[in-house]
Amino acid sequence: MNARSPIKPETLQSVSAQLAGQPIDGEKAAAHAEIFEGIMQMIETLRELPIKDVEPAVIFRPVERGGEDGS
Amino acid sequence: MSDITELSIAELSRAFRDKSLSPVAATEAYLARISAHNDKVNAFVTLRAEAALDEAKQAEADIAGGGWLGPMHGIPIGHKDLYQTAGIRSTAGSRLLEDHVPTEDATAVARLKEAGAVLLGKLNTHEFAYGPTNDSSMFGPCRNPWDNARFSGGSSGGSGAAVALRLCAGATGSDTGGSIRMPSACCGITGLKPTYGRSSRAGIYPLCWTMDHAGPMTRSAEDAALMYQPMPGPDGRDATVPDRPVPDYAAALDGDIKGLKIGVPTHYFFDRALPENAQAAQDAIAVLEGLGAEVREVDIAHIDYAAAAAMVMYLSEGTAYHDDHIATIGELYTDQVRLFLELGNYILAKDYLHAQRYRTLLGHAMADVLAEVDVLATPSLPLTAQPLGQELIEIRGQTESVFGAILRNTEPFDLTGLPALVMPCGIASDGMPMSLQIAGRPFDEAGVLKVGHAFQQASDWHKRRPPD
Repeated sequence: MNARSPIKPETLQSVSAQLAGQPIDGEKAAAHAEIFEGIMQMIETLRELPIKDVEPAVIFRPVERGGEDGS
Repeated sequence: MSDITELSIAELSRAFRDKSLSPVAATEAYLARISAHNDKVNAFVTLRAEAALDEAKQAEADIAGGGWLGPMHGIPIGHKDLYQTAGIRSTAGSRLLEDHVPTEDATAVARLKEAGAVLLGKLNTHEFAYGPTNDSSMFGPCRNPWDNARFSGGSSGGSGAAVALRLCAGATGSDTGGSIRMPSACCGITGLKPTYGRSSRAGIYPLCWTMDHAGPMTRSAEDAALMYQPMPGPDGRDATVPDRPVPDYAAALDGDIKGLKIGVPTHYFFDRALPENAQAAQDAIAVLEGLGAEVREVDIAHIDYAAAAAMVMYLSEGTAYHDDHIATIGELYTDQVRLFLELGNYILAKDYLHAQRYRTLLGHAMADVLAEVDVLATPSLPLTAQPLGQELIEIRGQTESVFGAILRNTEPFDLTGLPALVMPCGIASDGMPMSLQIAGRPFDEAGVLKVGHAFQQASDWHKRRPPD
């Protein structure tokens, strides 16, 4: 796994504005960065799991009219 | 009858049926308690006194005319405000839905209505079920009936507080990371999170589509069996619900657990709990052993990653559901929920899929263990209900967030979709309830209810109640 750079407020500001379409100010970005860095460190542990041949638990269901399509 | 609100659902039902008690008298008794005590805990957020009395009168007339619908007929209950109720305000605890009145009932609401239950009103919830404490809600925090300075647990906090304080006989809850079981444990009642897909989530505002469950919160396993009975089965609205037979849950409560194999996963569930909570669970397991169960220690592979995977699920699916509103009317959310929703913007798709792959892995690990034992027994929570606003807690020398700690023992069974029952098993030195969790194989709600009932036949923790 490549080493990851710490989460920066500027990165989160950019993601929020350009990818999520929800711009945030610098103060909020700094607060988010601090919290998200901790979350990211926890989440990254999942990448170390032996899941190479494991399928995700989400299952695609073809939509059938008149049936239970979840809509 | 001295105190009608002390009667269980089972006792009320018998009394209604033999006409020694009227559903009207029971409804009046609960309405009187709500009037006297609800302000202490802020559990009911919408009350429908007149409509409830009308329903109770109808139930009385129907039962008198030979039209008894079953054990829930005439039973006064409440619904979590996450459940949509036709013609009744349904807010999800959020200013976004402050005046929202749905036109259609959630399936669970409709089925309990068809079973004859009397609806007293709607119950406080953590905003959109996105938190384990119920301190973030447009109605203000729901308080713990055992100590009003502490949280009720969440997200189904109103349901937990109301059932514990005898403001209703039973209530509905929903559980994504533990939202039925956490408030049940914090408030000293019994809560059942069924198997994922066993009962429909249609008409319940989602938090995470792949982890949401609907179930009952009551004072005993017997009452949970009776209240849950009408809820399972396909409805044509929720594609996750399979068409498989629904057992008679109450019939499974024979109290006989001789030879039942109980697995005790000490790693993760016990060794990261406050010693008192772990000991109370061990003592409860000893009671089950005394009833003839065989107890053995087990180890669940990969369990340490559960919190990371659950966090990804909340952040990804929660933010996806609320994406439109965060961008346009984000200021209407409470600060904590808005923060979580905004943090979801930074989760990568690959991490979401890693988390879903982990769920498969954990599911296999649980299945391996449950091939050797019939149920798992753990402390429901590694801590007791903490003071409102407290963010950190020290457990065995480690300081961690209250949010993280309270979710630890419940969310593995949301990730794997396994049925799990929690029930009170002690009172801690801080005066708050402690709780035992029993988890079982997929679709074996009857099995976990049976164990719960056996324990409650041999102990009286479920009869303890908070002071008025």
